[in-house]
Amino acid sequence: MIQLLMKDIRIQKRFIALGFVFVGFFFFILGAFEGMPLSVPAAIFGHFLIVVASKADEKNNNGRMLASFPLRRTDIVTAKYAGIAMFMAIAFALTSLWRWLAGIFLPARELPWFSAQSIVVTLLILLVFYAIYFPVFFAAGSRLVQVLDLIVIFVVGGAALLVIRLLEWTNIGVGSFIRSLPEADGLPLSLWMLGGGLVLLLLSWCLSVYVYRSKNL
Amino acid sequence: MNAVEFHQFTKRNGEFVLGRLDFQIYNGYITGLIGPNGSGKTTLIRSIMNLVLPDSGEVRVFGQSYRDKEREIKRQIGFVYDEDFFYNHLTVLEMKKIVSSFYPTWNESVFQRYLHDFQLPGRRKIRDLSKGMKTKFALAAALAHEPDLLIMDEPTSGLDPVFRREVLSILSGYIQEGHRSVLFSTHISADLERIADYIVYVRNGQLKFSGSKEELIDSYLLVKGPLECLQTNRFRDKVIGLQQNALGFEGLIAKEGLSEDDIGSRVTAEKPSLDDILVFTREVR
Repeated sequence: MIQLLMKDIRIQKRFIALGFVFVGFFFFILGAFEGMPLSVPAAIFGHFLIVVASKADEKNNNGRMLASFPLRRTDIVTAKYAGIAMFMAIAFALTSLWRWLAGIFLPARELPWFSAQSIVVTLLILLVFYAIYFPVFFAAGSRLVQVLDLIVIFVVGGAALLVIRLLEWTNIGVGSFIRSLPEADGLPLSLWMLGGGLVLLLLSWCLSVYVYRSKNL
Repeated sequence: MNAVEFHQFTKRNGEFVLGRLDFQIYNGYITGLIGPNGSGKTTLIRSIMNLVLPDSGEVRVFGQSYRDKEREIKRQIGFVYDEDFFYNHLTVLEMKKIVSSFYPTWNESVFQRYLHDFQLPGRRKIRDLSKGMKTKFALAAALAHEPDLLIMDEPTSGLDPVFRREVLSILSGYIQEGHRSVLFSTHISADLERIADYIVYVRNGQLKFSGSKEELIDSYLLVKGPLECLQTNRFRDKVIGLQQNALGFEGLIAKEGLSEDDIGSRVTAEKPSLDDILVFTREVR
């Protein structure tokens, strides 16, 4: 599995460099998304790397090549999920590097800030996204991969908005609850949310393994 | 021990059924896989790589099952497919680093030798290589980890005759050690006539023949003669894939149970080529 993660880094070298420049240029030089926590550019950067790595594996029959290497299909699926942690770590590390570099020239109050709450919310959104994205990715493969992230964003986003609206019409104050989440205090809630996200991801991994092991490539 | 064994292997894909295959690929030999387009050759090759899973039956490689020895089996297999399967934006050497990381037995000096022999530019991107160059790289990568079984799907299609001959010569050299085997599918039967020891012939998803090349060729005669010879039903019924024109007829005839009287003096009978067998048996159910 380590070889698969190394492979992802090797095929992504240029995109990692490109993402690093993108984050620096838009978030620190142009000041886009000013007032936002640092987890936002890091999450966008990490998401870009994870999705591009998946697309690269399906673009040119590469999935068939990987499955022909001395690997079990479970290894291939597990590496994709491990890649979430790896690329998020790379993205957060490189974004922090930009913050440190920007800190040499800018006063600290003008820099994007770190907050545990915003990191948890960002990670939760990404975990939910990948929990849906990967089973569909392993089931549909190259047929959908070019637009799969958009499909998941629109379907899940649409479904979530619909549920929130329905709950609000029935006078359940879910909107105000969600708005209060980033400001909510206390470690337990954050950990519960993150734990829930990880359980969802574990279920998603089981589904992906089942789907990919029974698939003809 | 056989390199590959199919036991009652069945795979259905819509209307197409690759059905109840029972045969083996012998260790230490070159086996050619032949059959018309859509006959199931690629599915069969993918099933040996465990890319296509059987509906029933099993494929065993080196006597082992993919159920519990997938990594061990695949370490012993080199593969060349008839399609792009590398990361096109990488250079040859970058791609080599990825492939080599999966094989503990990777022999860098073997790879470098092929790189040199094939005149492959290490710094060129895969997407900028010609089809022939890509096949050369795939072959170098497949051979560099010194596999016991080399599987190739149409490796010589689209290659110029010089490199085709070169590939065949590499394959002949590769099995000289005695314990290595090659399975390759091709439409170019001249390649098989040159180097294959065994033939597996599939058509419409069914196994039509599995055995030595000589056995297959020796089981038929190519018969030609004037149309009058077809007037005797006894002879006409024996001709397989009968083709007629104003000058006469041509077809195959199975040698089994054939007597000299069946042919007659005006019909010429000669040894068929693999192409003849493929062409004339294509209609036979």
